[in-house]
Amino acid sequence: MVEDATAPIENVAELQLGKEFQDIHILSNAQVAVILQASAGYAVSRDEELNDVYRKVQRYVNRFTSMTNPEKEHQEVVDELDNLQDALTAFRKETEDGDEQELHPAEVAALMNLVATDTMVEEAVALIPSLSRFPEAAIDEILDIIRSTIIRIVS
Amino acid sequence: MFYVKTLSHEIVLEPVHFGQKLRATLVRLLKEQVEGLALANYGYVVNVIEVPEDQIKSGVIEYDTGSVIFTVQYTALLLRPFIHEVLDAVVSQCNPLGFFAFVGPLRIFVSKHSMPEDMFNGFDGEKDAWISDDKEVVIASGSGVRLKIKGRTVEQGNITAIGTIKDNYLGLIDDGEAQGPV
Repeated sequence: MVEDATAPIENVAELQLGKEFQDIHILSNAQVAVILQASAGYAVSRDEELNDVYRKVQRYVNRFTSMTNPEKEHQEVVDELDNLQDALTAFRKETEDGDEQELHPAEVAALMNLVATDTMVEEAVALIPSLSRFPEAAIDEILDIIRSTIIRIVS
Repeated sequence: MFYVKTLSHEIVLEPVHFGQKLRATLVRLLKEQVEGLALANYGYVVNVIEVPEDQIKSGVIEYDTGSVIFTVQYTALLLRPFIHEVLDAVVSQCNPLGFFAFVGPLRIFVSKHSMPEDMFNGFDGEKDAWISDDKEVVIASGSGVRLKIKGRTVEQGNITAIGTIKDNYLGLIDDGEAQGPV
């Protein structure tokens, strides 16, 4: 693989996404599943064919989302996911200097994709290195928020 | 990572399409041309979410052909591998050099040098799988693996990424048989 030598160094572990990606809205797999489901219904009703890439992505997100429950009302799951994303985006922690730290959208999406009910702080930091700027207690709090949402959705 | 971004695209509309359904035709053509495309910097366009009505501005007439060029802005759902991000993927194919896994349309190659030490010599040609020394971990077609992206290359309209499962908490997630929630 060849990275253009003049391009800015991209490293999501340090939350450097590149200057073109500063104003994007990042989604977790579960949210993508919701969007695609709605879009698929719409296309089918207009008798359009879904393209290959679309179907592959749909298969992928349906397999790898920990936050789904076919027995639950679709809208309920959507609401839980939105609440979770709001809760994570609104998460603030005061550091010792009195500054406030918050979660970057990339971290929010990664957390929603990778964390399961039994994920511990150590694993979360290994998978999402940029979380190490938070104290352990704060990360535990974050994992707790996600854990309770997963339990609510799956039960 | 999946993300939503506003992009713009040029559509050349032949005069036969002019008339009442101009905008509907533009949106249809946009979806046909752009959905499924791999853009070099932005990744795969998975879906066109919205084409705001007021963003379809007047087109410019091409003097040579009589067709009109419209520059259309649209919001799209995109998939792009970011360096150092951790993703779950589905293994598709194993070979003596490593294995290929897919995240939707995105192909990721994990070489044997990016596997844990106890899997380095674990390629089993008969089972077409990578097996660890203690036989506990079997990575075969259909298995789910958690990997980290190390690099990315774009060629001929396809994006291929290079991944690793060598770090802690990476590697086999499921064997592809139980397809319930994680």
